[in-house]
Amino acid sequence: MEYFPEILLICLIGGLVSIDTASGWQIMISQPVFACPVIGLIFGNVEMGIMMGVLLELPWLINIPTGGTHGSEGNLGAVVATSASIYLLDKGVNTENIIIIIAILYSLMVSRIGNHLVEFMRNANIGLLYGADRAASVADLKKITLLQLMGVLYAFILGVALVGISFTIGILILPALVGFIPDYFDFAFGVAKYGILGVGFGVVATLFISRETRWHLIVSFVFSLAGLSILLLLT
Amino acid sequence: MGLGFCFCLIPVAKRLFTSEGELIDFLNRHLDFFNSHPYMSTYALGAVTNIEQQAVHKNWHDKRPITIFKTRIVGPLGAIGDTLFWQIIRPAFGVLAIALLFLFGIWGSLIYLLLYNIPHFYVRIKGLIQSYLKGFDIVRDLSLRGAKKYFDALKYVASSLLGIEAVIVIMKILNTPFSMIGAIIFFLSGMITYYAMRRPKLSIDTLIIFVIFSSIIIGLMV
Repeated sequence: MEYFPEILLICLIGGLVSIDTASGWQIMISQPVFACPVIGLIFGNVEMGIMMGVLLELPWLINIPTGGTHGSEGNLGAVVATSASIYLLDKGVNTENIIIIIAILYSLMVSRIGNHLVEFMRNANIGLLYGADRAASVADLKKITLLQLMGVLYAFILGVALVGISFTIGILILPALVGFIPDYFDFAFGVAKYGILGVGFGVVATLFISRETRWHLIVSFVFSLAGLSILLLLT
Repeated sequence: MGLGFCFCLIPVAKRLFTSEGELIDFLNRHLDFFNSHPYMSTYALGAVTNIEQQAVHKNWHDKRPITIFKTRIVGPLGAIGDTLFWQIIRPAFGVLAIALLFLFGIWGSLIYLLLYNIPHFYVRIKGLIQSYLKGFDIVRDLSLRGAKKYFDALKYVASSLLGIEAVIVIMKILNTPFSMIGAIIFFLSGMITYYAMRRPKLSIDTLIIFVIFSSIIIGLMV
């Protein structure tokens, strides 16, 4: 129970992230680039929050929520990964890179579970729609409003439950996993961070690089590289 | 989304209808299937409000045009919104946000949020007002083909931004203890992802796991 207030706060953040991802405002407070640094700020490790935000922002952008499709719940996974990493560092584990990679691997599993939970929530939402049909047949506006808010509440509960349970399990199993890996692996795990960042950039390139636009990418890359190199040589 | 659409129209229903029968018809009409892009749905809301008002004032007996209009507008709104926001603006701002985090630390997150929400709220508010003023005629403004030239221009800007950002990230990596090996892994992973993601069956999770384990092996060998 030592970390009970922190777990409650993380659950609340998970709930808000879940609402913002699909059911609510969608003002992007759910994106890792915002949510992770905020978690870092709350728990006193902004650097870790920023690192997680940078690493996890881009890869899941490939999951475009068109029609009824839905990808992994990467945003909720990012919340768990950031919270778990900060917790492990607080516990005195000093192999930061190993912590980050293990937390990210764990978050992949969490986001996959989240995906299945979203399917479950969608089925529950169909139940709400049937309820709304019945309310409409008697012109019950209050009930329709209530059912709409319940849809948002379902998303909140999903976020709270997924983040709360996976964070609690994470702080139980991750220290053992991290402890299992020799400290000298830390450098190699650090290299993997940049692999994940590269995956993110590759994902974004997939979204808007075409035969017509690829020259813009190449030209801007070459010119920026040349410009920065000249600047570095001059200074 | 159908329930959400109907929920948004409840204030309109309260203003327009006094008899229970009309209200029931209205609610049933708008609880129908509706699945569009969330930001662009204000276009449908504004136009439907206008058309419902016309139907009341001109005493329409047949309200089917409203349902048909809603069904027909869903596709273009979804196509434009998904292309504009999910495929261009959100990824481009995501890339920009990383640069902002490097430059301004946690303030970068806030700047990202503010910048992203400028086009977001612009589209929501403009959509609501413009479609309310135009009613049925809003359909003329919502053509994916018509918007394509703007999307292409945005893609050019976004591609250039990605190129500049890649250089910033590489410079940042070169300043870390991982230096050259980090930069090479970053570049290779980007290329592998770009080509691998063209295979529709490959999931991003699998790719991340593959890249992590490959990078660790390379890191151990260096």
